[in-house]
Parts: sequence; structure tokens; C-alpha cells
Amino acid sequence: MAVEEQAPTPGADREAGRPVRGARGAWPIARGLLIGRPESGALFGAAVMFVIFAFVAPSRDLFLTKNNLAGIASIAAELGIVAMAVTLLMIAGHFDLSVGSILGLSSLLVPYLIVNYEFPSWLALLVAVGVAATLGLVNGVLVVGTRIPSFIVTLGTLLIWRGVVNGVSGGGVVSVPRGDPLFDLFAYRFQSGPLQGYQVSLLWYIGVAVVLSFVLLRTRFGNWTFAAGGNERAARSMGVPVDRVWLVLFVLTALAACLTGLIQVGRFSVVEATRGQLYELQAIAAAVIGGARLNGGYGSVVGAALGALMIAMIRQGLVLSGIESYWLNVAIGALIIGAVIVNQVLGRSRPQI
Amino acid sequence: MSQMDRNGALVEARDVAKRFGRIEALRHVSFSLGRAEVLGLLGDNGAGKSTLIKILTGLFPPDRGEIRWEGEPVRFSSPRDAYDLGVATVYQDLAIVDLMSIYRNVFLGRETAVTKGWGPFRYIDRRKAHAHARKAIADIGIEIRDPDEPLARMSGGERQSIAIARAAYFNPKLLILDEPTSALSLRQTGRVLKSVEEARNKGISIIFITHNVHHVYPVADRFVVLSHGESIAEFPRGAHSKEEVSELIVSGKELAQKLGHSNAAS
Repeated sequence: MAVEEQAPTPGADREAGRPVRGARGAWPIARGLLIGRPESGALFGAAVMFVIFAFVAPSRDLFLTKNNLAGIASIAAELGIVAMAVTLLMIAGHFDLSVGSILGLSSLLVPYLIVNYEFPSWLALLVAVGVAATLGLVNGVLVVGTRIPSFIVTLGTLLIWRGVVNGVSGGGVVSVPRGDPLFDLFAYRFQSGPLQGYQVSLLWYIGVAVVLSFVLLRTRFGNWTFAAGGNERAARSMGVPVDRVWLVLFVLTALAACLTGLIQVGRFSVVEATRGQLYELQAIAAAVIGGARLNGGYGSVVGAALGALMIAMIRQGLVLSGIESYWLNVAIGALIIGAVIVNQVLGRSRPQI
Repeated sequence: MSQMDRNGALVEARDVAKRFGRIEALRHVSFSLGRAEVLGLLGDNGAGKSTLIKILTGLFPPDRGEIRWEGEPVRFSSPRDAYDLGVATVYQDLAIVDLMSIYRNVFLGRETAVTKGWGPFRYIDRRKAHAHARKAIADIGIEIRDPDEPLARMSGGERQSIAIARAAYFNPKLLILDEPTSALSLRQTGRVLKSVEEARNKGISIIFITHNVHHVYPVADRFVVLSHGESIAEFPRGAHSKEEVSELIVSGKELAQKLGHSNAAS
């Protein structure tokens, strides 16, 4: 089948009389990127969207400004970090709807402990990370231990942790003490150099994408992740410790939410009780736009990163075009449905992991 | 014949019995299997085939009788025990993941065979994994186009063969195939039988379980017929025609006695 597909490709290698299989010309690589991978649709979509906003839309002159690009990078990074972890969990066959609440709770804890209990900032950060990891573990243990679908378990914890955030903050805002150099780790704005104007979260975004992609595609744990979601029974009978994979991924997802929480603590001067609300849906949207299958077993970290980038571009693009933000969700909703249709069409031609 | 087997047998069952509550799943089962031999384990539904496999793969021990492995009595306390001794099993559901590529399936759960690096930095060597997957599958007589291709695109016979290739790659001494051909077309069956022969040629002993003698007749060296939890006949290929074997599977003990099988008398 592969040979038939390759036969009509205008590869230079074929003209040279060598078999096309294994050819490493520019075209096979481009074709591999365009239709060969779960993230192909997102890559194509992100490129088209960029071209539209940067060269076609009436507000195109504003789009390529440093300010705007840095804004997009910042939104994409914060959402992307969560979406990439959520994607791994979805590939392994589970959902985490509580990421927004975990983000909110770990964001809130940092200023709350510093202001009310005079915690040193490093300790407040550590507590936030520890609490997030624990909440992730709680999700995982509940799912693995009770066999209740993760959708339900994390719907429950979504409400519980959001309730805790509201209760602790009294529904109001907690202001973040400024000027702590520790926050620069998460929310430093580069003053010079090639990244001048961008937030350091861009580096976290890229770093997380590289590390998680590598883990998914090149390690034993990645193989187990695909197998746990693709066919749990088969994975178990081949000796894959499926429950352990799930526990690790629930903790990882919570830690990713915490990381984005810390980035936002550094970026904004207050933490409000609604921090992170609906983030879970945006993260799942980014994952799905990036090619993740809702039933598990298939998806891409890079795809989720691109999905988050697309959501960020729409958000900023609409603002620049002077369209009221009420319409944002209309665009994102349409994007999700469109992306799934495109992914299905591409997927039919060649799913590949 | 039986004396010779006893000396050189890889695995031997002696009067094995297993009951579940009031149901006697196995009553008197005996057989032996030599090295690089294909044993056709035949029996109708409910004859006790799957109980016997589960004993051989270590899921539970027999109540009575013994399993001998290379002449020594063994008692598996888990499938891991059996696997460590060299028992590999391809179950009917194949334990494969359709959305995953061929090479990922081949090394599923045994990734360390193709990883490099150290500790937490260990990663899958794709080139090696591809090459080994290709070779494992070529070894059982199947050409694959691309180890990156997902299994969902393979035919039923190819998937069965890939599952066999995976089991054979890790050099088991005994390969148990549970109804490997029952869901396949004639042409696909032929492909799987070829894989079975290639695995035997690598020196692996095979137990081929089926209720259809036509599927196993071309490759089996010997046959054991199970009926109502008893091994009623054990004979080399050629001792009986396919039609007689089919009759044995259906009619059971009386016919076996008529044909002079001593097993049936016990």
C-alpha cells in the first residue's frame, strides 16, 4: 500500500533509478509533515491562520508587531504547557477536567502563604508544587482505585478544588507581592537580546514541548502511554504497568497546571478566585485541534502546542480586528469542529505513531 | 515412542486434572511435546483446551498430576514464571494495539530490548527497533512494507503472524497458539501456517490449539485430542486421516478406544 502511495510522487530519487522507499528528498519529508502525523492538521491550520492574520486581515499591520507576537507567545505558552500534559493523559485514555481548578489553587497558594503566613517565597512555591502533585495523585488514585471514569472523577475534583479556592480567597482577589526575583524564573520579560519583549514562559513552552515529545515518541514510557489508551487489555497482557502510567500522567498534568499557575502569578499582580476557570476545556480543545483522539491511543504533544498557538492567534487576532471578545468562543468552537473534520480526513489517509 | 519422548521431551503433562467448584474442567490429560515439534491440540468447545493452556502459561496450577519441563516437574506460580522458563503465548485477542505501529507493537512491554542510554535517559533506538522488528517478522516468512505502519492496516492473517513473530522474537522454547486460524480465510490461514513452520524451523516447540483439524493438519507433527477434559488420543501425523481425526473430536472416547488408544482407557 505504501509503495502504491509513493509511486506517483515526483521524487528525484526515483528518476535516478533508486527505489522510492527510504528516499529522503524534500518532498517525502514535507509530505510526511503534511499528512503523515497526528499534528499535520494543526501545523497546516496554524500556518494558514498565521498567513491570514499577518497578510490578509484588515488589521494585518498590527499583527506582526513585537508587542502582539509576544502577547500571542505568552497566551500560547501558558495554555500550551497545560494542553501538552493533558494530551499525554488523553493518549493514555483519560481526561483531567480539574486542571483549571488545580491551576487556580496552586496560583492562589503562593501569594496567600506569603501574605498571610509570611512564608518565604521559595517555600510558598514548593508548597504550591507539592499541593498540585498531591491533587494530581488524588485524581489518579481515585481513577485507578475505583475504576470510575476519569471524566466523572475529575469533574468532581474540578468543583471541589474550585470551591476551596473560592472559600480560601473569600471569592475575592489576593494581591501578589512584587519584586521577588524568584518569580523571574516564571515571568521574566526579556529586556534585550533576540527574545527582547518576550516572556520567559516561551522557553518553558518550548522546553516542555521538546521534553514531552521525546518522552512520548522515544521512550518506553511513551510506548506504554500509547498502549494504555489504545488497548488497555493488550497493554496489560504484555506486562505494561498501566495503572502506574496513569498515576504518573495525572501527577504530570497537575504539575503542568501548577507551572502555568506560577507563570501567571508572576505575570499578574493579583490572583482572583476565577483564575484558571474553563482552562480545562481550552486545554482539551488545543489537544483535539492538535490531533488527539478523544478515545485515547492517538495524539501529539507538538500538535497540542500548535493547537494552543492557534487559540492564542485567534484570541489576539480578533482583538486586533476590533471584534468584541464575546465572539472569541464562536471562533474557537468553530475551529475545534473544523480541526476534527480535517484530522479525520487526513487520518483516513495515513494515521501513524 | 513414549519412552523416547520421555527422555527428550520439552514439556510433558502427566494425568493433569483441574476442577472449578463442581465442574471438572480437566480429568485425565497427558501428552508430551518434543523439541521443535508442532503439537496439534484438538478438541471441541468445552473439551478443556483453554483450561489446559492456562495451566501451561502459569495462570493457575493443576489440582492433580504434574507438568514436567525438560524432564523436571515444575509448578508455575504466575505467568511470569512460565515466561521466564520460555513459554510464550499468543492469545486469541492477540494483545496488539491497532493504533500503534508494527515496531511499537513488537516491543510492547519489552522495550528494553531496543533501548539505549542509561537510567532515566534511556530511550528507544528507532533504527535498531525498526531493523529488529523487520527481521523478527521476516523470520516467520512475512514481508512488511514499513515497520512504522499501524497494525490497523494489516489483514487478519498478517496481524496474527505479527503476533507470532513478536512471541517468537524473544526466543521462547515453547510457543502456545490459541485458535490462531479460527477467524481467518483459507488464504490467510495458509499464511499463518507458514509462520508456524518458520517458528518451528527456528527450533521452537509449538502447541497449536484448534477445534478444526483441517487448519492444523498440514503443520502438526503430532496430535492430542481432548474430549470432556480427557486426552483421549495421542498419535503422530499419518496415524489417522483428517476425517478420522474429525470423527475423534466429535465422537470422543468410544471411538478412541475402538481405534486402540490406551490413553482413553485410563
